[in-house]
Amino acid sequence: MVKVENISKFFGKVHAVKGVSFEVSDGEIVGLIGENGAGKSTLLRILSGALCPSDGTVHVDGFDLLTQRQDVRKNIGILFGNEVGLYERLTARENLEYFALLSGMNKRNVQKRISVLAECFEFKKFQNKMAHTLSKGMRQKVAIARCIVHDPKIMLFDEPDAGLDFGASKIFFEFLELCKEQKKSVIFSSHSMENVKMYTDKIVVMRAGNVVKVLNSAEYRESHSNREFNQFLFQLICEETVSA
Amino acid sequence: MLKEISIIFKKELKTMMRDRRTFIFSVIMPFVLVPLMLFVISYSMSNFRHQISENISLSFKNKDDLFYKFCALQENIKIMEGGKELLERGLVSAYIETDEDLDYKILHGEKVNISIEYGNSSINSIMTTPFLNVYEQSFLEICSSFADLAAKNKITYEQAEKILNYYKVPATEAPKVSSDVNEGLIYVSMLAPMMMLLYSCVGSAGCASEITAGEKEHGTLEPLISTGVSRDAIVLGKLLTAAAIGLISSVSAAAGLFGYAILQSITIPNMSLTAFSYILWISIFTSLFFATVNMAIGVFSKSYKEAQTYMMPVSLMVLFPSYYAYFSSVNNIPIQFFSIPILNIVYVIKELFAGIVNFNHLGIVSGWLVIYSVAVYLIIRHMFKKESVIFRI
Ligand SMILES: Nc1ncnc2c1ncn2[C@@H]1O[C@H](COP(=O)(O)OP(=O)(O)O)[C@@H](O)[C@H]1O
Ligand SMILES: [Mg+2]
Repeated sequence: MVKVENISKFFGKVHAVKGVSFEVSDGEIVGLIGENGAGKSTLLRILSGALCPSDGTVHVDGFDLLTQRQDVRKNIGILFGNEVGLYERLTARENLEYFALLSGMNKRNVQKRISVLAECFEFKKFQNKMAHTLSKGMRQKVAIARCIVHDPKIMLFDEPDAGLDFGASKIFFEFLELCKEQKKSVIFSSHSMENVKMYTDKIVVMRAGNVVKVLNSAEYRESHSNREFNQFLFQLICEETVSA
Repeated sequence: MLKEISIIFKKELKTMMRDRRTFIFSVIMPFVLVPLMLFVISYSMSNFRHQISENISLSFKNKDDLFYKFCALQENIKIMEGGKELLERGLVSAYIETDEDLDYKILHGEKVNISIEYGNSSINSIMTTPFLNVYEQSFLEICSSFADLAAKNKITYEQAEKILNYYKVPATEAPKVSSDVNEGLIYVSMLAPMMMLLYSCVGSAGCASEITAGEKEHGTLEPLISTGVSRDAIVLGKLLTAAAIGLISSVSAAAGLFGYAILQSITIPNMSLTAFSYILWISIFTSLFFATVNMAIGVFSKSYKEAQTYMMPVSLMVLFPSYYAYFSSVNNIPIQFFSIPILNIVYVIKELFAGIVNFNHLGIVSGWLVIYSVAVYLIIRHMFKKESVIFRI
C-alpha cells in the first residue's frame, strides 16, 4: 500500500506539485491524468524516490520512502516518461541484465526473469539486437520490461502507452491486470482517455500541481455512458469548463 | 557496494569498447599518432637544417682578418656588413668577435680567441650553432697545425692565407658532424612526458563525458539512479572506467613512442625496466587524477557536447607545464617543484626517462595525485547528490 500525504515540490520558484494526498491499496491500478505540466511526471518521480519532495511524506507498506529509502527502493519500479533511455550500445537483453544485476538479483534468476518478460512483452525476436537499432515502440517495450525486471511490488509508469501500437498497448494493460492479481500496486499516467477509463480502478486527476479529483472508475464505467464519462473527465482536466 | 561497482565498471567498459569512436580515439590513435608526429617533426627539422646549412649569414666585428677571410671563402656562408646590430635585429644568425691582433697571434703561433655570439630568439641561430662550431674547429685546427712553424717566425701572412684557403668545409659534411647529438632521442624524451600526460587526460575525456553528461542526455541516468544503487557506487564504477581508458590511452602513446624509438634505432640510454615500470606506476595515478577531473566536468555538464567544450582548455593546460619542463634539466630539480600540480608529473616522468628513480619524488607525486583525486571526487559526490545537477533544470 502506498500512502501519499501532502506532497509538494518546488523547482526553484516553480511550484510543480502543491500538497497532494491520496492512497493506493495493494492490487489497485491507478490512472493519473492531467494536462501537460500538471505535475504528473514530477509526482511519479517523487514516488519512485528519484526526486525528493520539498514537503510531505510517502509511505510504502508503512516504510517512509525518504528516511528508509534503501528498504523501499528495491520494491519500486519506475518507467520514466519522455525519451526512453536505453543504453544504445547494449542489446535489449543486456539492458535488462544490467538493471537486474544492479537491483541485486542473482545471475540465474536474472536470465529466467528476462526470458519471461521477453515472452510476455513480445520482444524475444529482437532481444539480442543493439538498442540503437530498435524502433520507438520496441524500445518502449524494452524500457517497460526493464523497469519491472526486479519484479517490484509498486510499479510506476509515466506514459507507458506512448509509442506503443494497439497490440502492444493491449498486451501491456493485460499484463497490468495480471499484476493486480498478484496484489501489486500500479500507478500510470496517460493521455489516452480510453486506456485510463478501461484499465483502472481509480483515477487521479491533476491540474496545475493539485489533485482535483480522485474517482472510482469502476463505478463510473457502470453508471455512466462512455460519452458522459469522457465529458466528465475532460471537464475535470480543463479548469475553464468546470462549473461549481 | 563492491559488487555494484564492479557491475557498473564492467558494463561501462564493455560499452566503451563497443563504441568505435572511443576505441579508435583512445586506443588506436595515440599508438599511431605519436610516432607519426615524431616522424614529421624530425623530417621537417632535418629539412630545415639542410636549408640553413646552405645559407649561414654572419656579421663580423673585425673585418679582413684571417678568420673573416676563411669564412668568406666557404660556399654556404654569407657575410653581411653592419656589425652586432644585425644580430640584434635578427638579420644574421651569429656575430663573430675575434682578437684585435688575430693575424699577428696566428703568425706567431699564439693562442687565439674567437667568440661566436648567437641571437637568443631566432631558431635560425640555434640551428646554426653546430655548423659554426665545425668551421671554428677547422680553422683552429689548421692554425695549430702550423703553429710550431709560426712560433719560429717561419710563416708569412701570404703563406698562412694560402694554407687556410686550401681548406673548404664541404657544406654537406657539416650536418653529419653535428647530428652526433642524437636528435631523435631529444624529440623522444621531450615528447614522452608530454604525450603520456596529454593522452592520460584526453584519453578519458570522451569516455567521461559519455558516461556522465551523455547518460543524462540519453535519459538513462534517472533509471540508473532509481535502481537504488548507491550514488557512490555509480560514481566510483564510472570513475574507474574513465581512469582505465585514460591509462590505456597513455600506455598506448608510450608504446607508440617506444615503437618509434625501436624503428629509428634510437636507444634511450638510461632506460631500465625499473624506470619503465615506475613510468607505468605514475601513469596509473595520473590517469586516475585526470579521470576524476573529466568526470567532474561531465557530471556538471548538461550534454556530451557541453562537456567536451569544457574539457578542451583542460587538455591545453596540460601542455604548458610539459613545455616549460622541457627546458629545465632533470638534475637538481628543487623538491618543491614536485608539489606543483601537473608540472610535478612532467618532472617525475622526465626523471624516469633519464633513468633516475627517486623514491622521494615518486612518493610525493603519487601522494599528491591521490590527494587531488580524492578532492575532486568529493566535489563530484557532492554534485551527484544535487537534484539540480542530476536532473537538468
Ligand atoms: N527538472 C525540472 N526543473 C524545473 N522545472 C520542472 C522540472 N521538471 C518539471 N518541471 C516543471 O514542473 C511542472 C510539472 O511538470 P511535469 O511534472 O513534467 O508535468 P506533466 O508530467 O504533468 O506534464 C511544469 O511546469 C514543469 O515545467
Ligand atoms: Mg510528463
